[in-house]
Amino acid sequence: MARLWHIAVKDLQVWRRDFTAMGILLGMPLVLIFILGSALGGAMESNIKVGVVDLSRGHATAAGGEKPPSDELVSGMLESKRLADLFDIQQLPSERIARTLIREGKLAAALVIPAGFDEDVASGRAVNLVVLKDPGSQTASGIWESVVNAFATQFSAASVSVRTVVETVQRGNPLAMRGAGALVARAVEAVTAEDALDGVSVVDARAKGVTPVTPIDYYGLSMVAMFLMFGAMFGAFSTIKENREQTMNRLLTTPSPRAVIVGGKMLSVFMLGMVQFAILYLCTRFMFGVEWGRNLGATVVLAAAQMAAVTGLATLIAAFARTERAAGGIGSLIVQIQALLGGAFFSISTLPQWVQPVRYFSVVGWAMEGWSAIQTRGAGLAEVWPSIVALLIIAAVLFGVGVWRTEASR
Amino acid sequence: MRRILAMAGLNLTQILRDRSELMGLIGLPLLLTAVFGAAFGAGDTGREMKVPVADLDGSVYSERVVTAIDDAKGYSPQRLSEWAARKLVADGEAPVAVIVPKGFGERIEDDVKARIYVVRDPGSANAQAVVQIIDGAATRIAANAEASRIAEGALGGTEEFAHLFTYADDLWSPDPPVGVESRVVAASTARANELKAPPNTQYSLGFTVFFVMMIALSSAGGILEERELGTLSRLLAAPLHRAQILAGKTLGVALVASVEAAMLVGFGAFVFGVPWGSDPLPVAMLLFSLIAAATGIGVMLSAMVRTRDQLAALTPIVSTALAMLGGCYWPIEITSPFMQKIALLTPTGWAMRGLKDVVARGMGIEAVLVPCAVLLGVAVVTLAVGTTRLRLE
Repeated sequence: MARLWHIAVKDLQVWRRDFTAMGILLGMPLVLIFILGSALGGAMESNIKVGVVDLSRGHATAAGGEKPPSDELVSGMLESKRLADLFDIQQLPSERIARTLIREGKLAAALVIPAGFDEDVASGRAVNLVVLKDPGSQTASGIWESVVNAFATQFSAASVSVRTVVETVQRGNPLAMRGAGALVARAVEAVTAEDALDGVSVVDARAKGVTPVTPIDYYGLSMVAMFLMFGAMFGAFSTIKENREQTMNRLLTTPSPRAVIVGGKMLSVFMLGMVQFAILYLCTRFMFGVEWGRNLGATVVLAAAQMAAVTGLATLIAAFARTERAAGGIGSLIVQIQALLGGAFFSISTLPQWVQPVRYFSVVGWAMEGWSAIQTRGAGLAEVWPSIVALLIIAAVLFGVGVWRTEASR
Repeated sequence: MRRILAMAGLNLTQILRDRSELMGLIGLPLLLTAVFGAAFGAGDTGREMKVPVADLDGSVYSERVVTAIDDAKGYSPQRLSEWAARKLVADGEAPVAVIVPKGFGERIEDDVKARIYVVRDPGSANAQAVVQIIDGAATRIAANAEASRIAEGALGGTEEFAHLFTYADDLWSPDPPVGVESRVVAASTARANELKAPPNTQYSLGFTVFFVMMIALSSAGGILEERELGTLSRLLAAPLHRAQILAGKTLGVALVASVEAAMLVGFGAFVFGVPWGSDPLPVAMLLFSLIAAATGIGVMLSAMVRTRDQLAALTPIVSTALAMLGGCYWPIEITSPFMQKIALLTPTGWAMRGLKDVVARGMGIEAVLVPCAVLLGVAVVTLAVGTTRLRLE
């Protein structure tokens, strides 16, 4: 045991002197968390540039309305505070200009209110609003299309209301149609007045005890999970270097069994990771205010389980890669891919459901699953044990394959 | 020149011989592009997202909510108990669940405010999309109800409210009175037909830029490895100029990056139908400039670090940071204006901008001139710094 410890401490001392490694393990994650937190923190205050072209220029007033429907639509869009947070809306004089701006990538999308829109709406004819979209900004133009859809629904509501009232009353009680004008006005008023359509509202029922998270909370966790993975690469480097410089052979001539030597090296990877975790945890929590949830114990156990898996990965990389060049190549790709699949760069929940299980191939994915349960749902060990078990199984498999491969190649 | 080419070829041969590196060069980038490309191109493959719905009311009104999910493209309702629906979200199995409470219909008939509940993962875009569908349904139900109420009054109660509601509701289908029609505006109308950029275009472009950058950085490490192994000093003993060695090594890096680019472009074009080849010249110019810039950054980084390990460790970090800032992982236009400006300080940002203009928007050669100039500028500066500062022994 003492030998195991000595070897681990020796490796830790080598790393402590390596400023680059320290910068990467500790400095870079903090920088990236900061960038991501501020980049995507603004996702809800982005300025998607869109245009509005009103070709209607009609003066036909929808029965009961004060302004032509197209004017109502345009002013409704321009005055909406919610839209102002998300879009930079420009009024444009012609469709041609809108198309040119989209083609040049200066607008993500535009709404064209077609000529005759006002008359069509007033007379209840079906009509379409046109959304022009930039194929290079699919996400942004999609958001704009859904906004236009919401406005279109409001107009449809007015039209449906008038038709329902007029048609059913005509059929059921023709006498009441003598006051048709007033009836139509009421039908329009009923669905266009402020708050008229608030009769049914969609309410967020926060699942009990779910803490909402901001991007920095999300990326705080994911970047820590990702950067813990880099320990695997450094661990592999250390073994390969000792092999190359023949110091490994020297170690093997000592009375320490091979298992102790490998164990000592892996213990050092593990310890380095836990120190790294402690520092990152403290910095993200107290410098950036990242919400880690209240169960520190479960959070640390998960980190330890992740580090066990990382240690296994280090053994595996060291077994397969003969040179540091190969280890660096494989190692960094594995880290990247694990991070991507595990949702370190963007939440896996944005992917279609059938792809989402890919996160279970990733150490980062399992760690994130556990940590975010602690973060958002206040989960404890009782809830996150599947993640811990999964990480330990991954650790055992990676370690086993690594050792088998090393033995086989000797 | 022949010697330079021989050295450049060596870098490629070394990689092709090493199975693990080959995996990194070809296997993993393809796998990743495939997973994400397939994921985002899935819009039209008919796979539907199941939305857990607990309809506790079971009325004609609550049914409208369920139908709305069924009608939306890409979504289908999955009827469950409230407990089961909530559990799916709590366990992270579904991003959102919809709950229509008991008494929903009564409240609508009585003109009391009614509610539809959604339980959702706040970070999920899929959940957001479902909430929008439900919002639309809520508006429709409210409008139907308002109209029915007026008609009911005018008819003096001779017609049932629910009948009037259904009458109104039927007027929305198949097409609502005011609909929305979307048209894609491509730069070149002549090419507009072949230019149907699929939804995974962003990922095909983004991963290509990202992996070209990453492979260039990591294969630049080959120079350092040779220095550490001492084979570089052996080269210096050969009748070669320092400049020739540097040129050979640099070209080797560029060659590997080119192979990577060619492979990912081919994959995107043939497997996902991303219109990479719609205008080959500007695309080629951009890729060439990107490879030059990536190679330059790789050589400069190798000159700045002391050992091969340091470079290997820096590679993923530099390439990931550049990819994130440049908009390779997500569309840059959804980030804040400040971050969009930051993107223009990165070579990846310029590459993405140029590629999007040509491949997705169908612009011509004029769209790539500035991005190419910027990338080549980066290449010149980084290569100059890198080659003058790189120690060969």
